[in-house]
Amino acid sequence: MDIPVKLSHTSALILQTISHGYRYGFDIMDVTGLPSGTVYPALRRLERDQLIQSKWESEALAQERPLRKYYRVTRLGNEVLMSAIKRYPLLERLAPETKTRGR
Amino acid sequence: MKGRLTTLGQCQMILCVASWIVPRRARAEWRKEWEAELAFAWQISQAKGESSAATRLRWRCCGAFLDAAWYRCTREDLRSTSKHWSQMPTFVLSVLFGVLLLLAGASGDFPRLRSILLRPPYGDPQHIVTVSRTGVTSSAEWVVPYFWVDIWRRHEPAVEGVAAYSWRPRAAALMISGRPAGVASVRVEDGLFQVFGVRPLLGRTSRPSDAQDYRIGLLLSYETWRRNFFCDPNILEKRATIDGQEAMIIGVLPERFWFPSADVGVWRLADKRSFSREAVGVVARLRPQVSERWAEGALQRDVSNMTGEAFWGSSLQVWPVQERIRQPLISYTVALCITLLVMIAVIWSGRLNLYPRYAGAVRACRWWTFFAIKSFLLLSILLAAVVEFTPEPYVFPPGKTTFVLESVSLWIFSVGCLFTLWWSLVDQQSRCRVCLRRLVLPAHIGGSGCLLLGWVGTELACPEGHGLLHVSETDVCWLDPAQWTQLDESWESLFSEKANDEVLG
Repeated sequence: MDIPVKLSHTSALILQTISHGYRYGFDIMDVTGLPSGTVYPALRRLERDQLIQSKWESEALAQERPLRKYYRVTRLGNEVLMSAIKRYPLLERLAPETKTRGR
Repeated sequence: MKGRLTTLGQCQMILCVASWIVPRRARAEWRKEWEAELAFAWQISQAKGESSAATRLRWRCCGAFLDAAWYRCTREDLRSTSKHWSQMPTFVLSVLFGVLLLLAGASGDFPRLRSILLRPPYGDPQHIVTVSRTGVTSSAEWVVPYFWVDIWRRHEPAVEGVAAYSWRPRAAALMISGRPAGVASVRVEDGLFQVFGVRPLLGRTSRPSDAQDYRIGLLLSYETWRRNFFCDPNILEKRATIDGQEAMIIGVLPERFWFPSADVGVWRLADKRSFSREAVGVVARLRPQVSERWAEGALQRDVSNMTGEAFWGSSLQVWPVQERIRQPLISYTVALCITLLVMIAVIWSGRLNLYPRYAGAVRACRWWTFFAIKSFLLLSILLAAVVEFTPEPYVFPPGKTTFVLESVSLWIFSVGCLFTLWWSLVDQQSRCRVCLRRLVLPAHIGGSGCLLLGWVGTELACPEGHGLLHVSETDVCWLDPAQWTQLDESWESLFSEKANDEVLG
């Protein structure tokens, strides 16, 4: 199957980070070391291309702090990520450890 | 920490400023996401007691500007913003103001316009007059023979000083120390600057020993000195040529001085011999207490007595320079007044449905203020363009009749007035009577074949939903204007930004 969306290396890294369970903007920055001015615009583009989906977390999870927005990879996003990994072989080496919990 | 913002407060302020970049419809959600991340990161850093967290958080919040810019600069948003902005009244005013600034830059701050509008830069200008022939239809007939000037200088006690000049400026190639400059030049008698009561900024005007010098004495305008020779204070001692002839710069005139037009960059001093066979323009300084009428009679008598000139069909006219300089302005004002009268007649007749009479005073004031500012800017652009850029050889007009007959700029201004004011009215008519935005969504209603059975025309709507304008396709009579229908607030949801975008694609 042809994947219509071609990702930059940075976008692919962010997509891979989300797929490993780091779902919040600031978490992605901590893991990848990328600045906020790179991560957030990349998240917007990935969401616009329907590779990720954003949702507000539940109030039960947030307890008394403001609700955070989290991102998860869509089916199309997974397909695009697979093709990006083939394109950027070093990407897998940069992959963070998979987070065991949703937070 | 007392009296100072905490790191969290500083970060929230950064986010608040950045949020103004985000389009309004996405702003709240955008800010909520960033503030939630910030609050969470702040809690964690406080719990861990990290000392470097404050700087890191501030830097991360600064990145919010890039994120906000991404929102603002997506192609769709830019298109939507530009589309909406072009409907706003501020758009028209900004464009017109921009054009005016562009003209100011291109002309060098409106030199011709300033020379017409400001007080003449001469000493006691109320005593300075021009002497010319009346009853002429061509500016070539306006000038007088040079030997008349000689007669007045020798025999007329009513004038303190009199000087001749070649009234039409000519292009000249000036070269000073190998630096060339193309300037407009005019030949003047050495007494001209005394008549005007002007002292040079640098150097001198003339002295008797100049008559023995084979070089042409030149006086530069301040603008020529500044633009072409970078205000060089040693310019008086440098070698110069004008149109290939040896010359010397004897002075630089003050910044505001101009004569006979604002374009003149260099004045060549000329002696009697060079003028003797020419017809020249004349300026004179009258003695105090001498009226123009009295001077006219005296000067004419002098010429008749000395030369036998009978002045058949013409006479001499002594015209104060202040009035002469204002002559173009008076002509432009008359042209504008005639156009305004036509426009007022059209508005009064009810042909243009400009403003509903039942609307409030504040809205009416806003509506007419916008119309006045727009029309004023349009007329200013027109006036500046015609005065500065039409190829007029003079600002100092040869005569009242000749100015009206020969001035291209006056005729362009007259026709231009009509077009600009008409456009201003038509633009005003196609704006919402409440918010002044341009009306959109033109919808054709009815069929041309059913003219007798129903209304046929185009309906335009305010983008904010304030009302509808019905423009009839075929007027029943000339006085059948477009009809405005005011809509109440219940209609506004239909015209929301989202609904508008859906309709307009």
